[in-house]
Amino acid sequence: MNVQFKKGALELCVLLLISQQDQYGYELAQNISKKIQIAEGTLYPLLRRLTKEKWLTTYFAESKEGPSRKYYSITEEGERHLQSLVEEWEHFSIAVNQFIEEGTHG
Amino acid sequence: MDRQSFMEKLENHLKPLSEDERKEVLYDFHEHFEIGKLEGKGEHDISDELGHPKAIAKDHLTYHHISKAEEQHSISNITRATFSTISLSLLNILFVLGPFLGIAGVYLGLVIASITLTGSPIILLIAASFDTIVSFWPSLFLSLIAAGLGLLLCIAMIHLGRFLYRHLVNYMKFNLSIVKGGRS
Repeated sequence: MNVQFKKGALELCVLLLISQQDQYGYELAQNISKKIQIAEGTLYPLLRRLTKEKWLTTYFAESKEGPSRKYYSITEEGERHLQSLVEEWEHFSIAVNQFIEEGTHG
Repeated sequence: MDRQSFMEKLENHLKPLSEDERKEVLYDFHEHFEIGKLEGKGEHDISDELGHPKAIAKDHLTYHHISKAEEQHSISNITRATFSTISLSLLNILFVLGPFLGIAGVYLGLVIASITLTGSPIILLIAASFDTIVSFWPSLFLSLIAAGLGLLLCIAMIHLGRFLYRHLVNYMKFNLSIVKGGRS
């Protein structure tokens, strides 16, 4: 899949997944890899940036097996930012789909 | 590569960061390897899935440089942030370096002009000590006016400098968000 598509949508996907459920880095990497192939390591700089921008917050939680894990959770501002990203994406994908329609049938 | 090599390479490329920041960044990967190991995944597989330590470090550093330039205004910070942003993509050479050099050039020119104007009375007095100047007194008064204008220009340049600095940082964040995707 095209690298440029992925870069543009990654922030959106990360915020979407975290807004549905708090998760730790490894978990998030697995969830995204199920559908989109990425270098999982680049998620961490992204998560760090989103946290610095105050769209995500972190906390540590104990786990029965293994080390305590750093969970990411979305903030209120993060929810608002996510909303605007979703709207942008929807407008964008509608436009692209229209171009495809016209291009292949026009 | 194995976990040790991955972590060493990553740590090496993160040298520009402060020790605290570097520790925080490395922690994330330590946690990732630990959990992967628990799930029975081999170090080499985990490392392959993570990608290249150098690329990961680059992402961290670029954002770090930009946010540092934002918090601590200085010429070295903004220069580092500019070149770090540029290294993200070739397109940025056009869209960041170009405007940066252009604006820096104009700004520098105006600063030199303001210093010269402010110093004109002194220049005049030095010239007068070497040779008599025709219509000295009118020239002196004119140079004092020029100095006054120069001082005003100096003050304007200080304000303009702060304004440009702030906006250059914002422009780079904007560029970063285009390359990395999503808004910043």
